[in-house]
Amino acid sequence: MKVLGKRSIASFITSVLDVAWWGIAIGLVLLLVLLAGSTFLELRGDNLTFSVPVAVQLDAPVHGASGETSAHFEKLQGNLRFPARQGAFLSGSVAVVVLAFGYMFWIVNQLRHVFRSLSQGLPFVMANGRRIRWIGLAVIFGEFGRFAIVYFWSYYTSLHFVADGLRFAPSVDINPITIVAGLAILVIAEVFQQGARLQEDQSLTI
Amino acid sequence: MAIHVKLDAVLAQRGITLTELAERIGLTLANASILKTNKARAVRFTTLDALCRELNCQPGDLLEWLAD
Repeated sequence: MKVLGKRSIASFITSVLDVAWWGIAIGLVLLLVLLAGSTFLELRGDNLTFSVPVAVQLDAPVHGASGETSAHFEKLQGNLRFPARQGAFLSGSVAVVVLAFGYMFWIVNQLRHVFRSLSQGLPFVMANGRRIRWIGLAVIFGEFGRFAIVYFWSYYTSLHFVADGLRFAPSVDINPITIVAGLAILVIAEVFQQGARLQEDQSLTI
Repeated sequence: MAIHVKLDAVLAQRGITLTELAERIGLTLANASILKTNKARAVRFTTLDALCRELNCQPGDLLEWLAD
């Protein structure tokens, strides 16, 4: 199976990215409508719910089946689902999700351009190096952004919700592998830039 | 660029068009044009050899160094 060119893995990925691009675009439009509506619409009942990531600490001890060994949970992570109420938290959260969708939309668009050129059999074009570099930076800063949002949401729940036998704790959740992956993408971007320069030299050698 | 290709002057002296030269030495017109307009980054020895043979000249007749 071919990797580059027409009817290759690259062209298959281009098709997948095209579908994803349209899906995200439609989702973005719907979210923008929801964002606009969140300030005007009056929410009644529990139809619209939020699910936010939380980390909890349990006070209850855990005993071994034989009763000999006692243990305890240090930290549990999961999602807390609760009915949405009109206000700053709803509008702010929808705005954050809109931003996240916009961010994904932009990354997928850059990837589409890269894979389109790969499916045309033209990997080493200057624009690809630049696009891949932006993707690498987006992956790195996106991880920091995700960390900030998750921390804010878990901090919010720790302030506004209580439960018997457990305590909500602000969650510090940053994935170093994603950061390393972003740095690796930056290196690959530089390889593409060098390749594009060599390609240009080659095309201007008579 | 410091190296200047004097192909247009040599072609004028010989009374040959760029298209004609490109056909004789097996270059595309686009590549011949890149050479003539000094946009080339490098010239292969094989190309230089073909140019010198067809134009009956020395490499120094085609290339000159200009101070920036």
